[in-house]
Amino acid sequence: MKNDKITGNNHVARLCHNKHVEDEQILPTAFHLNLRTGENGLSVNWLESLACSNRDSEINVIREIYTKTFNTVGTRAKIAILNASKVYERVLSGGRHLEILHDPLVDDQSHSQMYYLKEDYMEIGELIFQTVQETYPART
Amino acid sequence: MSKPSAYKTHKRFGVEQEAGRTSGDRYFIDDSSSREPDIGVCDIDTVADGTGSLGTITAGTVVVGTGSLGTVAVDTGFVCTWSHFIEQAPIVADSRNTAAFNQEGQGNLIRYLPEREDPFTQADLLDIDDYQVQELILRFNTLPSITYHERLVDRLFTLFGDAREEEPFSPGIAVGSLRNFYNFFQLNTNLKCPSISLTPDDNIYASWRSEQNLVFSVHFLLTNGDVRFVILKPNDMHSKKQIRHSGTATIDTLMDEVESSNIRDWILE
Repeated sequence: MKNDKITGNNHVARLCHNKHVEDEQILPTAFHLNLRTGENGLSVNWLESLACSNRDSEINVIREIYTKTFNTVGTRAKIAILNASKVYERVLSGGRHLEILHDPLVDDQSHSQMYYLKEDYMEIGELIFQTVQETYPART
Repeated sequence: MSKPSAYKTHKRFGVEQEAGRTSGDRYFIDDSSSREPDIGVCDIDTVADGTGSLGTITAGTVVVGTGSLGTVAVDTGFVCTWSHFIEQAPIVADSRNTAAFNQEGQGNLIRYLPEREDPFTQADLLDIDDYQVQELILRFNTLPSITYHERLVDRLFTLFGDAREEEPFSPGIAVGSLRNFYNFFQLNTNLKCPSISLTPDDNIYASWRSEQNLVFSVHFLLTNGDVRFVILKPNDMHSKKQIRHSGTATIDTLMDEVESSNIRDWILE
């Protein structure tokens, strides 16, 4: 349901475009808001909401969503998997604020957003980056 | 690299007096005897005639940019050619000289955009942006003291392509950010090679990391010399905690932050 807070042992996936990847490694800019377009929240997908039986199935669904949503998913683009509790723990420990809220879209029911990243986007981006748990190619 | 159409009708400017210049004016300076841009971009806060006095450039060695962006030595006898006019600024000609400069083909310091008679199109703008970005990237090859300059150039061209693939009508890399990045390396040639990515709005983001959870990241902003930075390092007194330090600076003061944070040894070669 919209605005449900995603916490605990839930996971979210973030698409990391080519320009946020170097030598197969994701870099912190993957977790920056686009300040030019006035982006308010960082788009992610809530994996558990997909109700898949395993990670591979979740990743396949996420790839399909990306294909429909984005004009281009680069050949070196990655999917970063984050554990919600780890993200909260790392970011909030420094007195920062963060919320991950479910924000379903018509054609993407798992869509969610991370909020309150704008003020300290560099520091928060670095902290979220440190919690990346798994990575997968965004294209098969 | 093709010559951008917007520069078709440029002309060599004559000489003017120093009056009217303001601090922070940006110049492109080079020697037409070489096709390689051997000086590059510099901001000028003060101009000295070699003896320390400010004002008109005289014959001899001229020191440019002794202000916030450091010092660049420029010999007299320069002629600016189209290949160096990459400023994305209003059309302005600004040259200075003394009698020694006041000869055809003698030294000019020029900031300008060219005259143009035909309508300006979006394609032209893209051409210019492309040209500016590629020119700046190639300038890293003129910094031989950076041992990994070829790797930097490769990485920047890869990012340029990545950004253009994502947004075909974008400049690829924000020119102002790339210029700041280049100027930073011009001032600091002993840095270890950083990992480089682009922010969502295509600014340069450079990071130096160590396995000991040390992080120094710099976001090179669009405007003159401005950067944001963040430093994360272990808290020696509390092993599960980090010391975090972030803020804004300029490229000529950034290393002061490095010094004060005691992270110099793992940033520098």
